[in-house]
Order: sequence, then structure tokens, then C-alpha cells
Amino acid sequence: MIFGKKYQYSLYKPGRRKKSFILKIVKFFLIVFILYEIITGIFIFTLNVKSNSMEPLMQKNNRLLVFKPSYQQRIFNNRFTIPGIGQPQRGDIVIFHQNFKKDYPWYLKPLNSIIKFFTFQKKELKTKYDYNDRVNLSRIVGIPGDTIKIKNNVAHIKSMESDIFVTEFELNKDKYNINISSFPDNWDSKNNPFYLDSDEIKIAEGYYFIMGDNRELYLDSRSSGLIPEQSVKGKAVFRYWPLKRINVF
Amino acid sequence: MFFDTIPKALYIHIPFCKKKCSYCDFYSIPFLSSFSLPIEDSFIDGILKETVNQIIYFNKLLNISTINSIYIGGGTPSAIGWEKLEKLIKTVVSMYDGLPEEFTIEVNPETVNRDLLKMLNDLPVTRISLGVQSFNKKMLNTLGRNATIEAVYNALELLKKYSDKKLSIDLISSIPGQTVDEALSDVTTALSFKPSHISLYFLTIEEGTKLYQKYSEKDQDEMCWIESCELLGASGYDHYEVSNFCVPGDECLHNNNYWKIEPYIGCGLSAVSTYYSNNSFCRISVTDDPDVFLKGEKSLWGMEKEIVNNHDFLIELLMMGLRTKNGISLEKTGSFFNIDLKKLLEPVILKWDKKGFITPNDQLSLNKKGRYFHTSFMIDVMESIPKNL
Repeated sequence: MIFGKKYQYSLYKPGRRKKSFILKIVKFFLIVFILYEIITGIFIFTLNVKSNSMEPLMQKNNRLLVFKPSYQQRIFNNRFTIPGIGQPQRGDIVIFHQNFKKDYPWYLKPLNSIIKFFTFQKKELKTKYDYNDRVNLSRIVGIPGDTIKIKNNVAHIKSMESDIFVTEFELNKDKYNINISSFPDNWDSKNNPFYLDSDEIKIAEGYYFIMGDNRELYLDSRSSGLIPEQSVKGKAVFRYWPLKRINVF
Repeated sequence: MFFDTIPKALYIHIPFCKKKCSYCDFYSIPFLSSFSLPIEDSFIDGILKETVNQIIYFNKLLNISTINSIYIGGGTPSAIGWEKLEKLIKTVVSMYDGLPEEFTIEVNPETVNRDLLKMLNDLPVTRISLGVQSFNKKMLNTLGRNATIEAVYNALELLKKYSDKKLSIDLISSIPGQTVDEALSDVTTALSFKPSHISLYFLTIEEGTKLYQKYSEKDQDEMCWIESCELLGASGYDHYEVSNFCVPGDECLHNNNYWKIEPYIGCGLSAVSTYYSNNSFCRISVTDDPDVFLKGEKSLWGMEKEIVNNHDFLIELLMMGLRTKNGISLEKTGSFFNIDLKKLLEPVILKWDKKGFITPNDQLSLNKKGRYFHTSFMIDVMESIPKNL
């Protein structure tokens, strides 16, 4: 009994130390995880380019930093809005969602994040067959107020301040090259549905006309129309890999 | 009777093409080959003549007087020129009472021209299956396709202008080096021509093909094919078989026949037929040696008969049936073989149902997601079917 009492008043209890040590580790990882989620969810995240939609500027497996506060963000399945520094500008390289699959339900995304985080991105839920998991990379070509038409896959734009159509290249501060299929001179371009000179489109408030620099791919506004502002999820600001092509956009 | 005994489908193999594609393991004699002499016209005529003779032989042997579907494939049927093709089609159609409900001809883009399409318009052909494979230059190169991208668009434009047939477009996905965006872009482009049917194949790199020497499965991204399937589904196309999509109601009758393992006759060099006689399932393969084939009925076109045993037949039935959205009736199939198929497959079905891959209804069928894993499912099924049925 005496010994029992002795232990009762002692600071040292076997087991307690072990428990608090584990608790500390759990707490530490939890805080790191939450910080990581906040940073990658609202501020900045890395992107491994899997598409060639932005060739010749970007190649497959280039790594980018995507800055989210550039634009307004909707979080928790569009329930809350965080204001952005500005709005998508002409020439911005953006990531966007173009859905033909369901969006992740609210509970699965955080769960997937936890699994990915604690397995160092090696494991994830096998949900990619069911839910939208793709990140598209493209360039903002037309902004609200523009009237736009496509000629031979080059955008001709009449901006709000102007009365005439000029090519997308003349309106952009930054220079960029595009990939266009080189068809022979006598080729009748009417055969290619997206090559066809389009009608004029007036871009309404809150919508954008996007096209990848690689115009041989048609997964952009030419095939699926204008995209709403809330689908634009961030701006590609920096390429850190490959090292010799480090670049600020 | 569970199965028809009289075949209602006819496949005609035209074993010629302009140039062999890198992924192709079908039997064909390319016109452009550095090793062989130019193919003489009389040789093509001879092969076509014996193909027709073989059809007549089968019609007599199996008492076939009407036919539901005819499919001319290859090789490249349109490569032999529209005059020869017209003669062949007219001859074949005249053999049967009434017209077939569906008559498909495979056409390659580089061989499409106004004359061919006008000729087809005057004949009871109902579907044209255009072998596009990809709208991307790089991918066409990898596949070793003869057609240039210009020829592909040109063919589609001509079809839109001059043809009144239903259009089916063949695409190949998960080509080595292809990105998901490239695959989706191919689908988007195909959709812009509003075909009634799209076949979207996951590229299998077969041994013995040129592709096999350069690439392996590791170079393929399965997501190319899966995302493309999803896009087609989202665009209103019915994913009615693992690799086939159609505007609802426009399924390919002829292929449905294969998937149900209904009997069919296949004529021409290297073609295969299946039918039932004396309560067993027969498979007849024609030789791929032109010399033997050209001897005609004397050599019986070099045909070899194989009686497929019950075990293999059941596996084939399940394998083909489960490729389709409708699946297969376990009760009917089981009673044909005098076994309780439901009980036999119960553990496998339970396991896959838990994964959420089975469509719950009377028939056994894999749902859309399950069909992505058709091969793995079949491995489980095969393990539970006893060898000595």
C-alpha cells in the first residue's frame, strides 16, 4: 500500500511518458499536415505537367508552382469564397477544371489528402476512375468584353477599347509561340472542324476563352466553349524544373 | 435450342492492304512491301473468286438462305479498288433472299474517294467503318499508319458530303507516348463529325508486330483509354461493350453476334467461322497460304476444323458475353452445359460485387467501371470453372 501511495504522488508514472511522446508526434504531424493542406489548398502548390497542351513553352514532366491567391477562390465545394489579388488576365497561364466527370464529394478529398500526405504521395484512394482528377493547363486568350473569332487556329480579338480585330499576339505583353499543324498549301482547311474559321463570339462577364499553345489539341474553348471564372483554379507562376529552363511567368 | 444452328452472320476477309501498320497482327498482304513483287491483278481476282466460292459452299453446307448481317473487313477492303469491291458486294448480296439488316464495310481514309462512296450509295451497304485510329500526326506515325492526317480529314469531309450510310469511327487509345489530353482531343475531334458509332480500342502490343520491337506495356498510359471512355459516356454515347460506343440504339448487330457467340461464317484467306453441329461447337479456320486457298474446293480452301471442348466454349461464352453491357444469363448458359453456373461463380461474383463492379440484375454483367477490369475478372472466373466439364 505504501508503495502504491508513493507512486500516486510521484511525477513519474511508467507508461505516461510513452503515451505523451506518441501524442506529441501525432500532434506534430497533424499540425504539419494542416499547414501543408492550408498552404497547398489556398496558397501555392506544385504541379507536374502531364499534358503537352502548352507546347512549345512547356513539356511533359516540367514542374511548376501554381499560385492560387491570384484569383478569387471557392473552397469547400463552392461554399465559401476567398477574394483574390486580381482577375485572370489576358496571356495568363492557368490551371482549370473542365469536368465531364463528377467532382469529388466533400469527404473524399480530405481523406485522399491525408492518405497521400502520410504515404509521401505514394498511395491514394482508387477514385480516379470515378471522379475528376485531372488538372488542365491552358492560356487565357479572351477576357470579358472581348469579341473573338478564330482564324486558322489563331485568335483574332476586338477588345473593349478597340474597334478592330487584331491577333492575340499583338494584344499580349508577353510573347509566346504556338504549335499549329502545318497543312500543305493546297489543303482545304474546311475539312478540319476546329480549323474552320469560327463565328464571332462576344465574351460575357465572368467568362474566359482559353486555348493551349499547342493548337493541335482541341481540348479547350474551341471544342467546349467559354469557361466560367470559378473553373479557373490558379495561375502558373514559376517553372522550377528542369533547372535549365527555370522561368517566371 | 439455346443457340441458332444456322449462321445468320457473314464475315468476308479481304487480305490486302496498302501497307502493314505497326500494331496489326491480322493476316494481310501489303501492296507496298520492299520484299515482295508487286501484286498482280489476277492474283487479287483469284482470291476474291475463291472467297465467293467458299461462301457458296458454306451456304449449301449449312442451309443458309437469309442473312442478318454482313461485314467486310481486312486488311483494307477498299484497297482493292471500288470496281472489284462493287462486283464482290453485288455477288454476295444476290446469294441470299432479301437484304441483310446490316451491311458494314471497313474503309481506310487514304482509299476514300467520290467514286467509292457513290458506288456504296447504290448498294445495300448500311454502315461504313472508317479506320481513323488517331487524329494526331505523331500517333499515326507511331502506329505506322499509311494515312496522313490530311487524308483522314479529307475522308471524313467526303463522307459527310457524299455518303448516306451510318458512320462508325475506329480510334486507338493508350498509344505509347500519348498523353491523356491527346487521347481526349482525338475523341473530341471524332465527336465533331457526329458518328453513330465509335470503337475505341485500348492498344494491345501484340507479339510479332513492329510495335512489339520498340515498346512495351510500360510505355502506355491506361488513363488515356479510361478518360476517353468517360468523355464518350458524358457525350451521350452508350458504352455498350468494352471497346464500343454508340448513339443509343445504333449498336453493331454483327459484333453483337460475336459477343453472343452466335454462329457465323467467315470466308476469305485466314478467316474463321464458328457454328454448331451434332451438339458441339466447331471452329473452322481457313489457311493463310494463298497457294492452298487458290486451289479452291479441291483443297477445301485449306480449312481446318476444330471441335472446341465444353470448358473452352464456356470460357469463351463468358469472356465475350461479359464484354457487353447486357452480360450473360447464368441460368440459360448453365443449363446448356448441365451445370449450376450461379453456384460455381458465386464466390467470384461476391468478391467483385463487394468492389462495386457488378450490375445487380438477373443476368451477370459487369458495370461500366467493372468492364475496365474485364481481363482480371475473367482470370478469376477461369479459375473457378472446372477443367473437365
